[in-house]
Amino acid sequence: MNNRERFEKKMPMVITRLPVKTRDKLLAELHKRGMTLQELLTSFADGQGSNLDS
Amino acid sequence: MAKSRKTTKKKSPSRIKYEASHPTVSARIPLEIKQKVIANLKTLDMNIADAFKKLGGELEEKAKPIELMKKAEYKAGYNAAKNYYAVPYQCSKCGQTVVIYTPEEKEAASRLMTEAEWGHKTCPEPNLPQTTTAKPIPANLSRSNPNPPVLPVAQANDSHDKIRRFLKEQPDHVTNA
Repeated sequence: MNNRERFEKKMPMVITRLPVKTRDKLLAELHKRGMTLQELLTSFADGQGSNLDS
Repeated sequence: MAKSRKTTKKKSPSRIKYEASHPTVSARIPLEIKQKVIANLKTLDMNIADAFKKLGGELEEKAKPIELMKKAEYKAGYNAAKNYYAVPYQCSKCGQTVVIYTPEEKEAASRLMTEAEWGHKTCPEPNLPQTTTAKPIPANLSRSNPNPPVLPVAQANDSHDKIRRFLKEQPDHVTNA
């Protein structure tokens, strides 16, 4: 197992397809909150959906 | 010499259109966090795409089945009524909670409440023995006295003169006399 494989096993990818408009709104919301997608996903792990309201 | 070419399957036009209109959104997160995210979203009956859509304001709340809603409403109403009307007490033998239900229990509760002198909050207190140490009103000054004391005329005039003299001595007093 090389470094790349180890990394990919440790840090799996969360991937989804969204409509362009939704993607743009999501990115705008993230920009408004000053967060990255990774931070948003980490906050989903901590909260119980209370941070889902736009 | 043979060329090593990567063979890629030709995409259908619809697939090309779909991929153009639905770009991927991806991020790498630690495995434990991904599992937590998925578990948390599962409790809300959502997946990651739904969460992103909701955050973007595109997803409306999924309507729950009507039967499920009816059951939940019935349960909520039942619990509210139970909290309001049920009178629980502890069993003297096993200590478990019992709710007053039978006519005998109701009668016993009624008797106990009456003996403990429970009543309306707005009702006036019954006449209790007087416990205050206030001085009793003299009998001759009481309203029930048919012959109240009357000052003699001369004594009354003296009093009036004293008052008039006192008022005249006051510098800023104005009289109409």
